Amino acid sequence: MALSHHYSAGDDDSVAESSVGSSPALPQHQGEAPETFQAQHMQTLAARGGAVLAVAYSASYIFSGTQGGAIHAWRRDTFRLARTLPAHAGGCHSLAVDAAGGILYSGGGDGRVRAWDMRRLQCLFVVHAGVNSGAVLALAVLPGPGLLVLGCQNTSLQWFDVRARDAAANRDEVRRELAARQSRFFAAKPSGSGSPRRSGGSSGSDSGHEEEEEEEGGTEEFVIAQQNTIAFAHSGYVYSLAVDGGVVYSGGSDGVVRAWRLAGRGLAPMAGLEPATGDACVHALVADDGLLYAALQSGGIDVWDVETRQRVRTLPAHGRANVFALARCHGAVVSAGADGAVRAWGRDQQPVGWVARPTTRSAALNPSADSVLALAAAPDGVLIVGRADGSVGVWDVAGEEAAALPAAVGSAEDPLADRRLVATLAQWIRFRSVSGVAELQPECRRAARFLRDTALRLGASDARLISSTAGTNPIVYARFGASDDQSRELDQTTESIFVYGHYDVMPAGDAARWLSAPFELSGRDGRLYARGATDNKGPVLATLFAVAALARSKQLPLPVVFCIEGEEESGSAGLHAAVAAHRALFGRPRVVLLSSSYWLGDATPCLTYGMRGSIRASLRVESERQRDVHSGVWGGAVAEPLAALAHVLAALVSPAGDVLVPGFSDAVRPVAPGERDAMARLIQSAPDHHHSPDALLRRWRLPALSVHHVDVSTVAAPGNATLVPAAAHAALSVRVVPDQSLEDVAELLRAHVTRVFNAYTREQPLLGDALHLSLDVTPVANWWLADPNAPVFRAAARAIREEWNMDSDPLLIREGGSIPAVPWLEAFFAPDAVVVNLPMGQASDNAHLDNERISLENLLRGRQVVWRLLKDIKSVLEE
Amino acid sequence: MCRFLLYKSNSPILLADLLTRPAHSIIMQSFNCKLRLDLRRPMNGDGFGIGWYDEEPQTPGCIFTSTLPAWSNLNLQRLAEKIKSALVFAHVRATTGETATAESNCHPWQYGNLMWMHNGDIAGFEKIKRRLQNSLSEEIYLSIQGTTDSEHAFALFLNKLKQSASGGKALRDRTEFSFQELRIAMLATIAQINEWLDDAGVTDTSLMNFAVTDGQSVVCTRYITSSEKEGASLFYSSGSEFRSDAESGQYRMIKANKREDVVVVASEPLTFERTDWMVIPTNTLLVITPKLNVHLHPIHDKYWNPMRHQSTV
Repeated sequence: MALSHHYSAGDDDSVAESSVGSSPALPQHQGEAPETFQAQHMQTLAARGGAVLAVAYSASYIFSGTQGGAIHAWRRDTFRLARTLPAHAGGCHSLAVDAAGGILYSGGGDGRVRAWDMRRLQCLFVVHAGVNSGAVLALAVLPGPGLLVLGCQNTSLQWFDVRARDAAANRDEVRRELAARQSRFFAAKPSGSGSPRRSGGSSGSDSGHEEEEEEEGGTEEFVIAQQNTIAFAHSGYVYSLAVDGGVVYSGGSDGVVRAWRLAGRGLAPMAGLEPATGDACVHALVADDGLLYAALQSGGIDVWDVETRQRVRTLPAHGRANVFALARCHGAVVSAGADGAVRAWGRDQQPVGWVARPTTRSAALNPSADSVLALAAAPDGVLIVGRADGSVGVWDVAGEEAAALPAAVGSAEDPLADRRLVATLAQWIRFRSVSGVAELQPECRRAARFLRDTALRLGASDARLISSTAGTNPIVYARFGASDDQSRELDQTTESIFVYGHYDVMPAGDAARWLSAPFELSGRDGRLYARGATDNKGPVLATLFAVAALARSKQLPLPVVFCIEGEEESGSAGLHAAVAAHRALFGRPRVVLLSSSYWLGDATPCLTYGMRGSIRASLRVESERQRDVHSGVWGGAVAEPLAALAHVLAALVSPAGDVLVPGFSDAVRPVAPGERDAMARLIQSAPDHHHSPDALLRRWRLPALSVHHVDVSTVAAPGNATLVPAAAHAALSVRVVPDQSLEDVAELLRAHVTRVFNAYTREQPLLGDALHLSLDVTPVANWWLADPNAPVFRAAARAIREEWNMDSDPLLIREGGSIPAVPWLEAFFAPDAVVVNLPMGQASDNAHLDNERISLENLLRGRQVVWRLLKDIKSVLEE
Repeated sequence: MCRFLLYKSNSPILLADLLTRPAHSIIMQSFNCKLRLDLRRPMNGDGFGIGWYDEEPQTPGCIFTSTLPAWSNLNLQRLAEKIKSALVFAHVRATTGETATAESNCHPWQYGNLMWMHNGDIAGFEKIKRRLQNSLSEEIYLSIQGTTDSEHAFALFLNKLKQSASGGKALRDRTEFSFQELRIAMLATIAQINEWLDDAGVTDTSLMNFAVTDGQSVVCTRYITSSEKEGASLFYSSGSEFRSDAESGQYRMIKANKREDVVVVASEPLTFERTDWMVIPTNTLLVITPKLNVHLHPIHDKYWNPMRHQSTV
């Protein structure tokens, strides 16, 4: 019979108050008790391998042990999966760290413990638990005596003397023992019963060792001797271990907590804690401040005074859901359970905050994917949460400290620098600074003020909003003085570095296509998702942090001025006027630095040295009748604006994509014989990029004309298929390349369109109405082409190469797109300024699309590239 | 010598997923068992029985027995495809003594909410049978329908449970028992049988793998009246779900939730997945609590030997 009747509706407090549907990635801190424990979501990491049964960390990695038996090692700085270690058959149930020894121990369903070198991520040796031990459900390290303690499924407690392992080991005995364990029964499995390495959960990263087979590569093996075993240490599975003051505490499915002391090179029983009552497994133990916390199946947490061996109280922690995990974390004890909740308890055992609220009621009743199974807390305020759905959540619990921009922002000296950058970006992202939308102008202004304030807090000598044209978003200006003369005001003769970027963003588009809220930074699998993450808030902030770090450490060789505009996505309205009006503020820029393009592919860092220009055009064909007519009544007797427009559009581009405007390509710089080969080489260097050299030439090097849309939306009933519209409209754009002149191309286009249109109307039979053409051709941005051999470019390439540990230079790429400000700024500050576009983002970043993102590693390394480039920029410019 | 299987979970399983479909299901074990001590013939063809509890809380289970071999009973196949239960006892029989192949001699048996089965035999049972019967209360004595040592052991268990129980409610009317009560009665039963066997001068070894449930808790033993030999094989497996892999069709004990949601005890593993199956040490009592915690208790009597050789499987 089912046990579900133990849970009746409405008797579960914590579930009743749960915020149904709240995503664990977006915690909602609802008011109740004062929440002094704040947690900021950093990342959710997902990997194949089934439920996450155990988590641990080192200085460099987060480790997650999975149901499938693999251990995933994630880099702590970038949250990238560094390695998947095939560890155990039957699941990886426990992890423990010997920080001083640099060793991670993993316990498996195969009754083995593996020791891993945490730096090299290699298996050092294997310890087999005693015969018939079942899964190694709990592990603890006593670093002093060098003992490893195992809690096993067969109710035994076992220990292994890590330090004396070589002295004690007799290789022949080990071999004999393991051979004696060979199983007639399981060896006789029928053929076709599946791979022996298949071990639960999903396949793929699974691995294990079904039979007692020889270890690969001669990994040293040990067996725990019978004298190092306490059989029936509990009457149930030994689920949990904790070490405190040289005492080992164990908890089991018998609901009992026992204490063990060191005796010689092993353990001996001590007077236990009061026997538990009831039928409630002890899933986890943690010691803190003279107290021992025991996580119970019943949903409570027993708190024991280890001195008096009395139960102090039972915390009603997770309703009636299993409490699976505990961790000591940032002055609190954090608990988690089958209700999906993660919450914190203060030293006075009062609830002090939620990391994640309970999920849905059904999830709480039937432990499932929502369950939190494992917790670990690193001393720098990072909480790691392992879930049954196979995900690993990473939370920043350092509270104000990480978000604050403090005294010591520096890449080297500030261990929290990376987290501060991301926390600041998360705050900035929340401003929905979409330009060109009147009702969002206040948001743009707030985003601008936030950036200004951030610059000031980071140590800018000056930061302010400047504006010129009424109705446009202001420009954020900030100046970091050169380290040798920080307070010096700039004039037009002062050499400077000019950073260009923008804080305005595209609209979010269809919100349903986003996996997380567009204006909430959401960390998943080492990437940061949000509108503006890669275009352009992330790169702007990374650059600001790099400059601030240089300024802080007194290594800034030249003054750096920031010009971060709010109208880039709307044609940079007002930028020219504002920069011109405040020219003195910017000094005499020698370098214009921006990060506003993407790698070719996702794997290889790139440097951008050219962009196409653009011209916008709008065509409108109108009948003088000025109203729609019924085609059944008037068809054949009236002029057709849409047909005329189609005729004109058809005369613009050939089916092969060549622009048919006469003279259009005359000024295009001939493609040199080597250029196509260069494209081919680029493609080879970016193996994840699947385009042909010709496609690259067409995207970057050759001009193009595109028709964006055609519509009759000016007429009364655009969807009505029986009307002849009175007007039709088309929007198109031209991408221009060196050495085309914007004005010349615009003029050629005007002339061609007019000519084609006129020829068309001339041939029309005499109808009751005449057609008129209105044509608007507007140059938007000039093309831009830099000399990739200029010293600044070579220095930028070197900075990228060093930061990314590359064997060769970054790929030199061009862009098909246009940034109006770039050629304009270059021209405005000519002849001194060289523009360098350092792309931080990857091709798959989805700028302007749903689920825009930037890789955290790219953001952090992007910051370091800027740091490296600017640190030595003075000597580069003197070359 | 027989084979048995018991299953407890917190959500019902289709009997076919236990009885007929797994690679080494109890049906397979009925004609191709691999781990029986007596390996002269791998057949357990002298009938079978299944007992199960439905979702109605605290009501007696249902038992279906037949003297046909389990592998040839079409009704068993049909029922297994339809019945779902969260607590199942299943047994395939190979007679040991002089007892008849009759439905009344097929395991499991029930009394009120309690259900019982046995794998093994009590050596020289005929020498203590009369004494055992004489010890029983009238009501329990009259409940015996068959002739086996196994059913008589159940009667003795009931008598012990009745003696230790407090309160006046008749045993047959009680709907639940604590797992501690069941454990104590089980130990008392074994101790009583041993005492009588000793009195009767029986020296042959008895195998007493007993299992009992009240529909909530399960208590079972792997027991032998020897301090040297191993008892009749008995395994257990626990996890969050017992089901077949979608790709391979092989059954696995899934361990996705750090929680025992399913416990299976069986004379032989139902699958060939080594890491899924644990040996119950000889002369150990296993408890599955109502909340699906597994307890293991060594049976400390004169046959207890911590140094007894333990083979893996």
